Amino acid sequence: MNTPAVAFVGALVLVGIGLVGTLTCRNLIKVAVALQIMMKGVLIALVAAGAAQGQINLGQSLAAIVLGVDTIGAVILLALSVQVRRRFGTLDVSALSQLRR
Amino acid sequence: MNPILTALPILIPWIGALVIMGLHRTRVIHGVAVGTAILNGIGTLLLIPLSAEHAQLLIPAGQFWGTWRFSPDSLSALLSLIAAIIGALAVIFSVDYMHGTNSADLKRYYGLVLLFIGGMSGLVLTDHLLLLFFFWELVALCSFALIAYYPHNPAAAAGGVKALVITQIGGIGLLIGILAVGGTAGDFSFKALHSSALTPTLKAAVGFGFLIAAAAKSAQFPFHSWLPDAMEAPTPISALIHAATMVNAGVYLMLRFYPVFVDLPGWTDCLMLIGVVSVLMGGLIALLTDDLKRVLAGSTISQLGYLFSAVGAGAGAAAEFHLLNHAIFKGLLFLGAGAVIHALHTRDMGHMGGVRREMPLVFATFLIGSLALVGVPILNGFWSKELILEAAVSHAPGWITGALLLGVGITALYTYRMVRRVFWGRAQDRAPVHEAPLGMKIALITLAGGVVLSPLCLPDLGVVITEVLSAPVTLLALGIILLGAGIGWLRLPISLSKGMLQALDRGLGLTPLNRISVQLTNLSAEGLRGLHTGVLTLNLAAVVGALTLLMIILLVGGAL
Repeated sequence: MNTPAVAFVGALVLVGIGLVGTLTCRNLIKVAVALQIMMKGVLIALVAAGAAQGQINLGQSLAAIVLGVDTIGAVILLALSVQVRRRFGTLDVSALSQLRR
Repeated sequence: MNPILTALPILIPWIGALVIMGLHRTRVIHGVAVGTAILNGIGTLLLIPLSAEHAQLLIPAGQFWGTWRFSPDSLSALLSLIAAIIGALAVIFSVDYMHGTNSADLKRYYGLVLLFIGGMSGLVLTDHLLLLFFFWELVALCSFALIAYYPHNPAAAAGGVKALVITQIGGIGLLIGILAVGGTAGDFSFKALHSSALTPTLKAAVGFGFLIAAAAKSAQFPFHSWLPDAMEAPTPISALIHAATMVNAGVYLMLRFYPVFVDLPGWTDCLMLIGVVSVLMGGLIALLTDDLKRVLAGSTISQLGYLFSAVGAGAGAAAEFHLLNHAIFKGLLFLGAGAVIHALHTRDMGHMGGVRREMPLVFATFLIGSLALVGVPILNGFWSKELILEAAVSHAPGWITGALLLGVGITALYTYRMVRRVFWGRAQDRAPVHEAPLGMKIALITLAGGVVLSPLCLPDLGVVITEVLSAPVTLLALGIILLGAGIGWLRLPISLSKGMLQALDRGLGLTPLNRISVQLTNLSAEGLRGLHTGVLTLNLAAVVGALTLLMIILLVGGAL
């Protein structure tokens, strides 16, 4: 297998792990970790796609931007988790539903 | 002149609204609101030279949207000026009316009012169907939020929701029409409606969709029942939104697209029929209620009915003129009523009476407005109403003219009754009141001046005067006015039976119809509540599933 194909398979595996994690984890911190795993898979896919197209610079710069934006998202999610814990006393996402009747 | 000035009537109020959001002291909020509104009035005056030189503000907005074009012509300049000037006067009036409100509520109030004024100008200035829809719904949203301005009053909340839902139903007709035009002609500018790609069937669907939208917005039969309930709003709002500007948006839509749809079979007849029924029904509502503001609301439905009939009869110029005059005298009447209500803390005419001596200036201006509403000579309402009647005589079937003349009589009757019950008679068991404060006086006097002077705006005033005075229908209308007022003077027991009153209050069987639509909306919302599981993992699974589905569709679509 050539390098981009290996990278794509790796990216797919990472995204899959992250997806399963976000869907099954009930702890908000764990959800955040799973989202991060998914995003790292996406980053690899971006760089690999750049390499496969012969535009590695474009892929890498896109990855760098996504990395920055994603970090901000992670920080906000963690800050929200702290607030959720303070307000509701739990991090269990299934216990946090207030819209349900 | 730089065409970018066309955007001023939209941008000035919106920027003012944003500034107000950041303020805290109530006096500063009042000051900024008044300053913005007056500045906007001056900025909007620039539309007159701009429309004369056919200025166009073009904003390229991508492949899908095409070009956003804002191009003032005489019709949009007129409506934009009405919104800006009556808006400024309503804001000046509000300084006294909203005196003593806390700063958070005041910010919400002025923010929404200024957002509305800008939205109304945008609605009439734009030449892009999707933007028209955006502004159309924006003003509906402001209207809803201002009707329900006192959230702790259940009647206000219910009235707001009712107005929103009913105008939304009309909005659906507008949206379907716009999408049909855009999808067929591939263009969302107003020119697209003239495109030859539209088949006659499609054009009919669009025309009647627009008609439904206009009737719902202008509170015309069978959608009229939201307007009386909207009277829970603060009175300056009733004057601005529910008498002078937003309810005219429907008439604007009909005037603007009249040349497109005039050939549709039955379209003009439908317009006239809706107008005539609204004239009579609005008159009856005004005649049989004890609530001062509901009288004015019924009267608004009735006068807008005249506008619809006039557009249907092909008298666009007369309709435009009456629209301007109606905005002025109805704004004046609402603000006068607001001054009385503010002083007496009641809207029930049974608890008024004798206000004439205590508030002579409010009485004088209110009387001028009432006479204009009735159509007494020299005041503006006379000229425009006679022009409409004359157009009906020459272009409409006889029974429509007859119904419109009957409406003139009913107008005289309920106006006489309203003025007598509020201003004459003895003061009932109530505390003595004082003359209105300065801000209110300024607004009232300005509008009363407008009632007298607005015919001078007409370019061909001399022609109109000779035309009106030589028409036989003018004498007939004056006779009917005298007859109506005479019946009022006789004080015939027109309160009728309780049962009939209730039937009318329910909109003669039409309120249930409206209620059903509201309940259907609520029901579907409740049905969708099941989707609000609140379980994050489930929602995420749905998001992932939807994305996967979208990807599959894109892949398959690309392969095909």
